[in-house]
Amino acid sequence: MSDEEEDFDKEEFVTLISSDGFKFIISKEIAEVSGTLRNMLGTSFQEAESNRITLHEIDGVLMEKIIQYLHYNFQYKDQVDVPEFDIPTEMALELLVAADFLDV
Amino acid sequence: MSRRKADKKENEPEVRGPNSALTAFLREQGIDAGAIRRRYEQSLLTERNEQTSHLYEQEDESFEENEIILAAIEKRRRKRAEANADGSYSDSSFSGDDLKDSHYCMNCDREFRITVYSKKVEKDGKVGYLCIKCTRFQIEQEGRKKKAAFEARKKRKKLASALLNRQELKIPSLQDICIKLLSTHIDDVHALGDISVVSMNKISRILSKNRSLNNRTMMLFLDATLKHLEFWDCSNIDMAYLDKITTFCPKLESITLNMCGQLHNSNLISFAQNLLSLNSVVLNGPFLISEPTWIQFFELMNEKLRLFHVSNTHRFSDQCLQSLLTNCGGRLESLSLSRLDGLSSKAAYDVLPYHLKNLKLLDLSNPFKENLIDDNLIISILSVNGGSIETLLLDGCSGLTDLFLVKGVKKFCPFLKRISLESLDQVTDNGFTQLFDGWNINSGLIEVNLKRCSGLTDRGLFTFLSHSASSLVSLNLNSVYSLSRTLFETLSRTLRFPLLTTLDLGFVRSVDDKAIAILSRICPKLKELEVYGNNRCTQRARIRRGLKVLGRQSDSI
Amino acid sequence: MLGGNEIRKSKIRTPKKTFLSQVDYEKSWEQLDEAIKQIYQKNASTLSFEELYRKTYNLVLRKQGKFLYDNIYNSIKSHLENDVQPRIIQFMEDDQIDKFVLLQKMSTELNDHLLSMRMISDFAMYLDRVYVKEAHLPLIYDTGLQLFRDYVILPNDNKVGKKVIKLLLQSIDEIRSNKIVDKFLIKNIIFMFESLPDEAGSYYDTYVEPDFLEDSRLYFEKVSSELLLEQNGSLYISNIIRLIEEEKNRTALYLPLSTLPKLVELMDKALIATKIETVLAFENEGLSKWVAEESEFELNSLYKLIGRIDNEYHILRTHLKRLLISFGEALDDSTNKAIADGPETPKKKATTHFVTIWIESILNQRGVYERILQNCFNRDVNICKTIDASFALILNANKRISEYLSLYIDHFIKQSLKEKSENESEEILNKVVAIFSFIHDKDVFEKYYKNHLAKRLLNPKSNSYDIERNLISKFKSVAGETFVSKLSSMFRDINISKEESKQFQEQLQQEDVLPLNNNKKVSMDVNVLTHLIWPLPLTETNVRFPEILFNLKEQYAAFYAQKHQNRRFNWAPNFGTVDMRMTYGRRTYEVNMPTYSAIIILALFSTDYKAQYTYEQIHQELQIPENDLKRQLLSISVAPKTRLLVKRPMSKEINTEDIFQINEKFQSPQIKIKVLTVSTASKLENDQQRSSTLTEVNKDRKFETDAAIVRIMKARKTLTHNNLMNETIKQLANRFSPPPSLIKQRIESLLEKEYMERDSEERNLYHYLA
Repeated sequence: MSDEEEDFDKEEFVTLISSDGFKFIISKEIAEVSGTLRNMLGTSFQEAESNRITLHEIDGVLMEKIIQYLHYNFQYKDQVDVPEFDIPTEMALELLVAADFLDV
Repeated sequence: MSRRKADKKENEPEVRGPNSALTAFLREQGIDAGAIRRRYEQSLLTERNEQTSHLYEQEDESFEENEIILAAIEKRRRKRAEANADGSYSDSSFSGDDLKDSHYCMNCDREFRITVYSKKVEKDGKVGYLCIKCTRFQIEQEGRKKKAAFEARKKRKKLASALLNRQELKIPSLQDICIKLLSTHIDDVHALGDISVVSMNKISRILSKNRSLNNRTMMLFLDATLKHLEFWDCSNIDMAYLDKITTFCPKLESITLNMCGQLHNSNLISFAQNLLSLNSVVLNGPFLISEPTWIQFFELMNEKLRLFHVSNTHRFSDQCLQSLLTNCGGRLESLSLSRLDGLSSKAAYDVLPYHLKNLKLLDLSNPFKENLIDDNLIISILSVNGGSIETLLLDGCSGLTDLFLVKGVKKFCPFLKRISLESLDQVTDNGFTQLFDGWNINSGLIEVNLKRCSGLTDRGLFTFLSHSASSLVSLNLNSVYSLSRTLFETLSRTLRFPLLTTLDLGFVRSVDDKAIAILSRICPKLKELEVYGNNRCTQRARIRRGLKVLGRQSDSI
Repeated sequence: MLGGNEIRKSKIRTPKKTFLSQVDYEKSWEQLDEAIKQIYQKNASTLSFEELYRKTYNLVLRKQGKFLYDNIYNSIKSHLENDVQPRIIQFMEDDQIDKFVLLQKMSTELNDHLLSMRMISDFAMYLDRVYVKEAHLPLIYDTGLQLFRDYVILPNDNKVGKKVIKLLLQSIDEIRSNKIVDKFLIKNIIFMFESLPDEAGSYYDTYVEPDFLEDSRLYFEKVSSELLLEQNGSLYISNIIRLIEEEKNRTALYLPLSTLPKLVELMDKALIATKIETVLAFENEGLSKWVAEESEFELNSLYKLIGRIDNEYHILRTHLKRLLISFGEALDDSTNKAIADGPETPKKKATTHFVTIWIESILNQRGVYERILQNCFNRDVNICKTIDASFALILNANKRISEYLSLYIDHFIKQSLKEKSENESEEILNKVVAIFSFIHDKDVFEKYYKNHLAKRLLNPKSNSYDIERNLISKFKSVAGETFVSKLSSMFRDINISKEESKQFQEQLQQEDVLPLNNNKKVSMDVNVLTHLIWPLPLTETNVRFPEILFNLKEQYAAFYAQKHQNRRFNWAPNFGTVDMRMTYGRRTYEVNMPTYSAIIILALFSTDYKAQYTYEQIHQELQIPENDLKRQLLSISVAPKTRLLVKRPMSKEINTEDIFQINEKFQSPQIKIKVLTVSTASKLENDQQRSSTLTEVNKDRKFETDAAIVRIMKARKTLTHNNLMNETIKQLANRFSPPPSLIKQRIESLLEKEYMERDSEERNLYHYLA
């Protein structure tokens, strides 16, 4: 792992690492849409200390979609006119499992 | 009106129609014949500004209206300009005149030239106009406001309809989105794989709801390790596929089949023969199962059944019940016999106490006839099963009176948690006060349904609530007409309901805003409160955040 | 043929499915268990949340929820049982350890546990979300709290709990006795108990609060009992006010909000409700002293304190009433004592003096209570009512209150008025009217007042006229128009008479027929009084007027007859006065004397001042009624300062043989002399007079009752006996309280006179007969 993401403000961003090694840097606020990630960042476990979360059961493709959803949810909460969230049909089952895991 | 008044103020005495200002304006613009115009030309130069501002004074009410007028003016002016192309009069002389009288913007205090589009505003008691920039901004803002108001109205509408459907207006979870997608594309699913039980049940229910649980989709839920199976709509699953349940899920312990009109005699027998661990059977609507099959089934299941719920079939006869009891009665922990028109003799019911010993749940709701179930029957059942019984569902057993409460429930039921007594009109305050007053062996009921128990009033209810206030989670008092405001006022002073989550007070007419406010305060966990038909419940009721009040007239769309 | 392992091209990818065995589950759990231990050791930062979560997730997904839940349960339990509890017990049993250290330790232990539980329940969130919900079990975190309660606090008959509560209460007691205690520690301990769940509440609710309240009760009882021993109400009140305030401030920091109302209730009961009666009754620094001294602080505090327990102030009202009644009972004695102790004045023995002092005492007392109500009792409606009722009670207990009050007013207008400023007298009038409003038998008052007023009107003092009018309008506002109608008519008579006398005077001057007497002008004022309104006896007299008076009289009669036709005119020489200049030796005196005296002197002595007459002769000559004559003669021949005549023999009584003649040797230091008739000043009636007054009153009451009944029947036409009785009582309430027997009697009489009749069937029903 390089140090480049260390440049980001630790207070606001978190690095998510997929099972196949992709790194996603997103704001904590958005990550915390997920109950699982919220708890991970909220207690004094390793992840909270290092601001890096490795998700061993989720690959990069799924991760990307999930992060899209996190943004979507964050953006449209408390709004009435919410567009549909689009999911490729073939991904639905895998995504369901990942969503269950992340509590989103 | 305001316009007309303004006219008079400006010394134009004649009575005019609503467009008088416009015609006056046009006339003075010299739209008439050139001669008249020339005559007026001189005076026009001095009067024009005054006239313009005058026009604006008249239009403080509706911006839109002004725009229409202004558009009309604009249009005619252009026409006139064309018509007078050869005349000495031109727009430039017109605007040159404007320059004489410059204004300061009410908003940004900059000097500007007033035009017909300038917006008139009132600020700090002064009346004036806005510059072009500020006017545009102002118009945009008003548009935004209108849009926001429209959005708010739309949102209210949506909220109201969501409330009616008991949904919360939230962004669907990713899981729900996936499940919905899967349900619509269920034909493309080969296997469900490692998804959670919760998700699996959700998918199964959605399929049932969509009536798309069929021979093929059913197979997705079958699994060799499966112990519990619930299908909420089996009407599209035929006999052959129902049989597959036994082959694919040999470890099944409990099976729940709703709307199982396709369940054949052979299916049931096959369940009994092949599912060796089966101990719980819930069947709703198994009307193809014949009397001999039932009897054979119970014989096969001898001593194995712990839970047996059957409803909505006229073929379940007195003999079937007899067979159930003799073969499986001793171990039954949960028995539900509901809407079974084939059970028509009192003698069949009367033997229940002789076979049942370990009941936790007993449901005898909606018997064929009122007189089939009487106080003595329930008292005898409770005398044997009182030590274990937790749930007692007696909806529609309207032959019951206070007696079974006082002599049965009070005496024998220390662990009773749920009771449902819908439409028991012979139950009165006397029964309730005698039951709950000093019922120390029972530490409180959790779920109580007293819908349409019209014999109950404040006194009985209060004794009951005093007993169970700290344990109640769900309470239905729908159509208990005689409850009065006094009850709620008394409750307000004396009781708190720390766990109460749902409460139905529909058609209890004494419930008003004040009662809602009281309940909102004394039930800190209350989430849903139904007040259908209580027209004194309004929007004004003061309620806690997180409490949904359903059924107020004011909430309808 | 379709089957489970049928291969079909699927668009939707299926997640990989891994099969785990029981062995794998056990292994997962061992890792989780190790992690839990690390969490207890506060080494969480070495653990990966994701890993722990993934393990619980997989276990739950493979339907191992129960396995996991039970294991976590047991792991926590054994930690608490084997590590935490022994540690705490060891601490508890060490007598060397200061209790605050111990409490601190306790608080730390729980906080550590809560933190650990937070972390465990966080990584086990999937268990909570799926299995726990489905199985209707308490969440992991709540389970942890329950376990703490069950395996640390409650074991051995709540041993640890009891000990901590004991120490806690000790600490709170220390705070109460102003020792320095770490209140945050107390707060933490209470918070700890609050966070432990219990049947439908918290451990705090079940175990701590009752003990705390009982402990507090004992404390307040002790403090208040000690204070009571001082027998000093002021001390008690100021102390408990401080105590309540302090206790509130003390507990604000650490006491749960739900307990505060209970504590306040407890304080109110222990400090106020059960004690205040005793405090009020203290002779020394109790209610009576505070009222007597108008101790604003004490009374106001008392009001506030009692308001906490009873917003209708029953105790206070009972005591105020008792106080006022005993004041009323002692009033006659205290008045006598005041007179005895007062300065020696000639008036000292006079009954009016007694009445003045008596009424003034009442007025003063009224003033005291007014001020107290205003300044200390916030004009509380209930207390006002009680005080008014009590005043009414003590006033009406005096049967002669109407006479007292009227007499007092008479005295006030005649005597004290000139010493008071306008504001002062206005204030007194208001108080007087307030007392008037308490009097039940207002008709009796009217009787007396009319008498006194008549005398005053006929004998007016300067500037009293405005006061009289003012009073009348005040009476009107209290008792209504009808009450003052007769009084107003009296005023009207006087006004009209004044006007007409003036006209008469002018007329005489114009006509120049003014009768002359030694070339001196004579003038005359006449008061024409309506007979029925004025409380004066109508006496036909044949008094022979001396010529000069006779002439005036005749002229006035002619003047009056010219203005008003059909009126009978009766002269009442027994009223009024005559001013004369009389010359004795070289000095001329201006003498003001009653009309009768003037008649005597003018008729008998004006022509021949040496003439002598016997009493009998005078009587024969002048036809003045004997009683009046005797009184007049006493005034002008016996009274020491006004012996205008000489009586022989000189004695204090008038006998028929006595001889009278002008006293040539009359001398007086003053030029202006006033002949006082014996007993013109208003006095208390003696018993005989009083009974005759009452007889008159009773006679009037009959009329009034009749009138009321007829009025009611006329309006209602038909009425039952009971209703008629009630209505009548209501109508007359403003005048007097009629006894039912009177009404019954009047009804009978009206039935007889056929103003109404009984219903032919229902004997209790009356019909009005037009």
